[in-house]
Amino acid sequence: MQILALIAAVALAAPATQRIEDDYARAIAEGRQRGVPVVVDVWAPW
Amino acid sequence: MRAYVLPDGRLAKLAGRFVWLDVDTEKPRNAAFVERFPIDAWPTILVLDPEREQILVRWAGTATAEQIERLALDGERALTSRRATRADAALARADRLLGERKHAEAAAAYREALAAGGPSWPRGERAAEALVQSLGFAGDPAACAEAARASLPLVTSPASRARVAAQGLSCALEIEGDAGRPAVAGLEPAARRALDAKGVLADDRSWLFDVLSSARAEAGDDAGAKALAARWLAFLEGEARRAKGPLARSAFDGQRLEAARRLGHPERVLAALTASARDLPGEYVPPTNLGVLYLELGRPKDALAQAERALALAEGPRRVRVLVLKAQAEAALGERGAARATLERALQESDAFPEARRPRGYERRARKLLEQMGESSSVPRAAGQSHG
Repeated sequence: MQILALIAAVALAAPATQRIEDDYARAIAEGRQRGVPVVVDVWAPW
Repeated sequence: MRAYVLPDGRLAKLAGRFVWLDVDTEKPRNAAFVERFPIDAWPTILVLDPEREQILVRWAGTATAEQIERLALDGERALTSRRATRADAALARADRLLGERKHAEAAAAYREALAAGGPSWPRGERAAEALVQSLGFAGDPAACAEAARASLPLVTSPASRARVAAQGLSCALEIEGDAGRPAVAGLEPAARRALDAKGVLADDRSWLFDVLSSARAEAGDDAGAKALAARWLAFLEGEARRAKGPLARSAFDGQRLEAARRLGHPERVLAALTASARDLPGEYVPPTNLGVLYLELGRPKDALAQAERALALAEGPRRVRVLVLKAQAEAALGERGAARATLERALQESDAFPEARRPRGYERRARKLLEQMGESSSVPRAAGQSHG
């Protein structure tokens, strides 16, 4: 398994978009309600 | 990437078009997510269809803001296309059901199509209009009125908005009891706006005047109802002036008569209806309209003469309407036996038609008049026009 991004470990400082943290169910529910896709940044702290 | 790319202004511009989720795969609470969407590399960008919970786009590895923007937009396009495919399939099914006159099932399929298509689906407007119409045909006035109210924000073309508002208000007026009042009140403003909008067909504008004046009358606002009837009549007179030839002009006669009756001045259309009856000697509708007007004006003998003239010309289920008029004229002349016989003949003629061709509205009216004749010495004056 490749580990490609060390820089991904840095926490998001000032989000430009309103982001949902670690709550898939909430994101899906909101996507359904607003009728828009869900963009997921899948990361891990390394 | 999380520190420098995700806050980029390029992505901020897309904020409202997506839901943005961050998933840390190391956290136990995300175990189910990782099981559902196994990851080969970190970071990974996924664009998900929220309805089906399926991946639309997958990108393994880091990405620039520009690349993430492109991934997100590709996902959005894929979702739109998936939805359109599902919506188009449901629309085709709904259209087939409507073609078979399975109105309730068609309405359910139109709803399904609208839900699948979402707000950007190009055929949404037609589906919304067809949904309201199907519910009206299905005999579910409350659902029809509610669908019209809910659909109006999706319908942008003035012609469609006018039809949805008119159909919805017409349905709302059919709801029995107090339950209809909020539905009527909810649709009246949209119907009024549609009335003054450009691009509305003359027939639909006339329909809007009709239902709006009925709504005011229903609310006990006699002055408001009459003001709308006056505008309606003036509008129809203008349309009639522009009509090319007597046949085209006569198409407005029935509505002109109804508007003039609601205004309380049926005599306003006497000259126009007389002209149509004179200019179109082979048509049964002009003498029928004129007969209805004569009854309104308290001239039953003239009404009977016009009914007989129309009866000699009318064919098929339309004869039932003329027979009802004839019976009303006879009753108004005190010829009770003749009126009963004419109504019974109307019902016999109606019975002889196949189910789909029977004029249900006039049949009901004939039965009602017969019932009323059993209780009193004359047939009461009935409404002149009906979509029976």
